[in-house]
Amino acid sequence: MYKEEKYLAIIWLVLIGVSLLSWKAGASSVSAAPLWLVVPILLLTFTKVRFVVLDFMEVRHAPIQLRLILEAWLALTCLALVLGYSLDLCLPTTGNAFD
Amino acid sequence: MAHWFSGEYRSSNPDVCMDPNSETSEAKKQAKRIPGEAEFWLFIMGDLLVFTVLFLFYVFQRKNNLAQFQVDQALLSQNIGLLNTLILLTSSLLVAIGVQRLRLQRQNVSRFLIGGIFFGIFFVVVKALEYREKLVSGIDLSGEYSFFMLYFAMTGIHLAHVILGILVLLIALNLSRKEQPIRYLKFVECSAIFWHMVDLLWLVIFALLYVIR
Repeated sequence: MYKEEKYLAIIWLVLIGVSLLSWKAGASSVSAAPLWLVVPILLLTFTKVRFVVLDFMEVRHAPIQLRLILEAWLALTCLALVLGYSLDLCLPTTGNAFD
Repeated sequence: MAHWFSGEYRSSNPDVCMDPNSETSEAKKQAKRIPGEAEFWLFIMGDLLVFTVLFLFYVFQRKNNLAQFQVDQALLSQNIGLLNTLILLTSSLLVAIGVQRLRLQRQNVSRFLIGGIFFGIFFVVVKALEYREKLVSGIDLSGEYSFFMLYFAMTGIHLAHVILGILVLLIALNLSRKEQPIRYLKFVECSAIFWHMVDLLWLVIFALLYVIR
């Protein structure tokens, strides 16, 4: 195995490890996922996405403009989802949910 | 796209066609370069934005109907979601190594691409079995924007991307077996970028549909 391939394999191992971690966190929650669990899961997910973009898509060595656009997409999407879930969890779970 | 097939790839790419051990090549390897084609990235970004809208739509629909979403989400197997995540990550790794081998003109490019395609097909099979199980068990598809409606919409659009990705990788595999496959590097790179995008979108879908309940 060549040096660059070892690096990719390490990234892959990290991605697998983080996936197992979020799966475990999700599997262990019995009721509605609380915000303190949702936010780390989203952050871990977008950390994985960032590795895929930078190392598998090779954006790490791309011109800075391309990298910035993709990093901005990553950060904004993650932020928007965190906000979406935060609003979610501020709402009462009973009431007119089925109306 | 036609010129990717026609052998017009003339390298301004510093990684290609040089002795990988020479100092000049090592220095040039550090130079910034766009993987694939610049125009292709516009398409990738458009696709990413479409999925972002879908993800946000899902989160807001979940907010409107939290109790029912939680009941329905509990019917999804997190283990199957995890299995598909591991499958796609492995596929992405193999394709990334394949592209790197092609660029550095090393051996066994096609072996890695075949591995990537194999795992892609494996993903489709697992997803088909999951769909079958859900449809047979008579899940509730009624109601405007119910969980399972959004589940089928999101995973369905993603599955269409997976199938398209497999087809494009099959073309890339075919090109990588031709004489002087380095001529087709741009096409192979673009197909790999598309494949990694399919992978990263699944990572988000896995978190939203399967993990966060």
